[in-house]
Amino acid sequence: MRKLYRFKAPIVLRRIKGHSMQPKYMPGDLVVASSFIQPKVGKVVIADVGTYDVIKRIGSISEGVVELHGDNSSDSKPSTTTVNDIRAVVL
Amino acid sequence: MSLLDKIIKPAYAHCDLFCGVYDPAQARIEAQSVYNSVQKYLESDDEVFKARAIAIKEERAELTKHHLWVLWTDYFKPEHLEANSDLHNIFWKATKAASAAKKSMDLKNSQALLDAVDEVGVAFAATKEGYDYETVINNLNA
Repeated sequence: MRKLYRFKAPIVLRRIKGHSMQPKYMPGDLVVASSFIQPKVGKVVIADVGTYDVIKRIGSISEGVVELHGDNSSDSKPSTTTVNDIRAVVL
Repeated sequence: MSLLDKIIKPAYAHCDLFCGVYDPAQARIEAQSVYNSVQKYLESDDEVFKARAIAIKEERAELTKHHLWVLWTDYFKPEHLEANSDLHNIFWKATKAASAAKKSMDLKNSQALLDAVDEVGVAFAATKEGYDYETVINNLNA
């Protein structure tokens, strides 16, 4: 069950695992993200999709539903989450 | 693991499905069913039961191929092939072994399928830190 309210840390540090955001973000890269930035289409975000976080680019936002894409299309398929699940926008 | 790595959580840039979904255990379970179906067939004198054993064995052999194909086409990436140049051959042999087991009631073919799937399992384990394929085999043999 999704949380209705989620505490969002102002600054989020994450280590990337996986290949779906290549070539800009490589496995092992450290990224800094902030919840002060408004999630918009085209922005790369850290999203909490359950028991872990993902890093993805926002493809669309419609009525609170966010479609997330990987930059590396050969290694990623679009998925959806909610605006509330977006932790922070990568700086 | 450095202190920094303990503090900083990962953000997953996922594969096709969420990470952790791909697992050769699926193929191993079906291959084990192929083997067990042939074994039950050989032990039985009941013609109806034997017919069912053949049907189940063929279905499971097809599922084994399916799970192998998913791993081959969706999980394994070019960098895995660079690290293991025999990867395509391992999958080629495993899927061919599934076809051979599908059309045979010889336990040797079913065992060959298990062995070939285990080769895939070992290749998979080499790409995934912390994954223990031996546990899969041990659980199925328990």
